[in-house]
Amino acid sequence: MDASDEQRIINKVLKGDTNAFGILVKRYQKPIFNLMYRMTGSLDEAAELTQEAFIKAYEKLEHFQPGKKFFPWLYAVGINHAKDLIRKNKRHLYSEENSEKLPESSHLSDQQDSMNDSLDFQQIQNALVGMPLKYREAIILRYHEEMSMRDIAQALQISVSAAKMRVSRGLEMLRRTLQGGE
Amino acid sequence: MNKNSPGNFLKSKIDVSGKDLNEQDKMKELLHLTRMLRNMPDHEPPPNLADTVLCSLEPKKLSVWRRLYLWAVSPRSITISPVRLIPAAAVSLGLILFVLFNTLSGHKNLLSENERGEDLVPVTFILHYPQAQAVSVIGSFNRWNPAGFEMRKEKEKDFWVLELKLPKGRHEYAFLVNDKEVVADPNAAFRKPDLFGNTNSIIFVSDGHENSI
Repeated sequence: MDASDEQRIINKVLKGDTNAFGILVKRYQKPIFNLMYRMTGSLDEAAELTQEAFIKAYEKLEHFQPGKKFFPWLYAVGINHAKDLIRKNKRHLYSEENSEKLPESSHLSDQQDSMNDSLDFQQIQNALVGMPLKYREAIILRYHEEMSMRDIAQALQISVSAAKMRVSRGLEMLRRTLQGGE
Repeated sequence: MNKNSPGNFLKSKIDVSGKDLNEQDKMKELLHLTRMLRNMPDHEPPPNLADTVLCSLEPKKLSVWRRLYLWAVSPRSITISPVRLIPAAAVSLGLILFVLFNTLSGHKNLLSENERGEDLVPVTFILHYPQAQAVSVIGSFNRWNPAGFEMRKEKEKDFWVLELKLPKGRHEYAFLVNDKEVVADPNAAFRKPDLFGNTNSIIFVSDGHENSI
């Protein structure tokens, strides 16, 4: 789906076709859900925040600039709204202020002897959640979502050079964490 | 250090000799990390997430200015030839005059149209229920009162039919069969449980075309 297809869908939504918004929800629910999961460490809270993010994006759709990509904009709206909700409700933010706790699905097995691929992903996940959110999101967007630096800058509402710096520092931070906290 | 700790992860993969890592080793580590990040598994969102979101939305109502803006920024191709130029210019002039006229009186007209209740969209309700004796449509648009909303039976096809004109927007509704049984629309795209244990159907009425359900 390219930007012009998305713009056509957005125009339909703005003209009152609510069902057209479902195409965008289905297209982007997975990355937004995983973003929220990485923020909270809870699948239930991630589902709730994902719904809220899409509803908020729908409410603000008039402010979406034609010609821009929808996903970075949605990401920015979603993450800002989630931070607001977490701050207002004093909910748990799974980030630097609580880096000891693991997410629901990331318990390591004490009996596990070999480092198979699954464990490698688990260790990366554990290292990621111990990082400050701004670096964690930058490297996830870059290497997992495979977004361009320009789109990352839009999603995180920073300059392109700041996005490059965050990605570079974030990756180095992850490498050092996995090496044992040099 | 615990053998499962992150510290062993890269060392066991790359720095097996225990020597200081040089730049080449560091690059290998970073490349390995980026590959791992790319292939990291994601969680699947709940299957009903999209439906839940859509059920919470009210259709947008655009202002005249916003419609004009969207029209202006939408991409379209235009072919100009001398034969077409004159009528195109006439049409353009007409459009400009139309926009100016709407600018002066558009908002007032839109408001008064809604207030007079003329901004209604035809909607056809259809239910296949051959064994029913009587069927009515109840919903948020008639305060769940079946009086005056009885459906007629199409005898040859065993369908119950009722044509209504509804305001644009989101409406909940159900079919009342034989004055006692509440039946959800089997063809509705969206449904929502009510407080009484029944299931209501949901329709989004938008302008520009007739809705059939």
